[in-house]
Amino acid sequence: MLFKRLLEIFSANAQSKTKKGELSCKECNFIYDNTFDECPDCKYMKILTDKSFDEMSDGLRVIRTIRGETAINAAKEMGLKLIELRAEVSDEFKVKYKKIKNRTTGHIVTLGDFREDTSYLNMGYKTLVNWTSRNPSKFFSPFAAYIVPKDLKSGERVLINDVITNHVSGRWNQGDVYRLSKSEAIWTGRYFNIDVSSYAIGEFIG
Amino acid sequence: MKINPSTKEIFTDAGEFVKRLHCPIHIKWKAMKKNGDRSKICIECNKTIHDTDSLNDPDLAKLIKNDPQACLKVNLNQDNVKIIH
Repeated sequence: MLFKRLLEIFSANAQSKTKKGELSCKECNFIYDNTFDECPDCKYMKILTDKSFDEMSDGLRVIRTIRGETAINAAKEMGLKLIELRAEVSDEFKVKYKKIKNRTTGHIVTLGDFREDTSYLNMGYKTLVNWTSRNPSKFFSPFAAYIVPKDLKSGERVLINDVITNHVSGRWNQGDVYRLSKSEAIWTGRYFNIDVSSYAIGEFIG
Repeated sequence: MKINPSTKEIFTDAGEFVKRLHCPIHIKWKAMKKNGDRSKICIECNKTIHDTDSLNDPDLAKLIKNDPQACLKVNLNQDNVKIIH
């Protein structure tokens, strides 16, 4: 299997040891934060070996994003055309939340809207974590790249499912600021010009 | 009404799923043709887009029950919308 072979060649973390809050991947031994659903190193290597490279969505060609040194090195070995960018976490993005717990059942609820607060507290819930914010941006590696189809023509509109650069997708009047994770973009011949309005979330239609 | 901005799924305040918003056309509300106070017409597909700003949960549920493909417009900052994650 190409995926397994690539993992053998490019995985460089076999001797690492896990610390608290970390997991070791059973396939490639990569050590990763246990808040990730799956091993990120394997996830992006699988993107490289996925057969459906000419995927289309809503009539647009889908551009693949890979993250981490392992996948980027493997992509280079495969001769793929890449636009490499740094994946940096921006402090601008924040999503507020509050955790409450039912005094009788122990049921835990996460609130995201100030207006829900009173109704839940009147229903017998107590505060576990008071209103605070978290930054939802989380990248397992500062290295990321778009895979550019070699026949992509300048001016072609595409869909990027995992945007690398930071753009504000929407602001809520309660203070939350959302990051644009998916967007349409125009290939200029040298870079992708992100069309933020295509997937901005201030206004939803559908 | 509740909306999850990440998944674009709409629920009633009681937590019942209403629909997931999806539109491949990406036309802005401002660019649509007026059709009374509570709806507009999409200039690309000619479908009616219902403004949820003045809809309560029973009206919204009834609208989608009668026409599951009905198009809706939801603004994050409208008063009758709560955001969930």
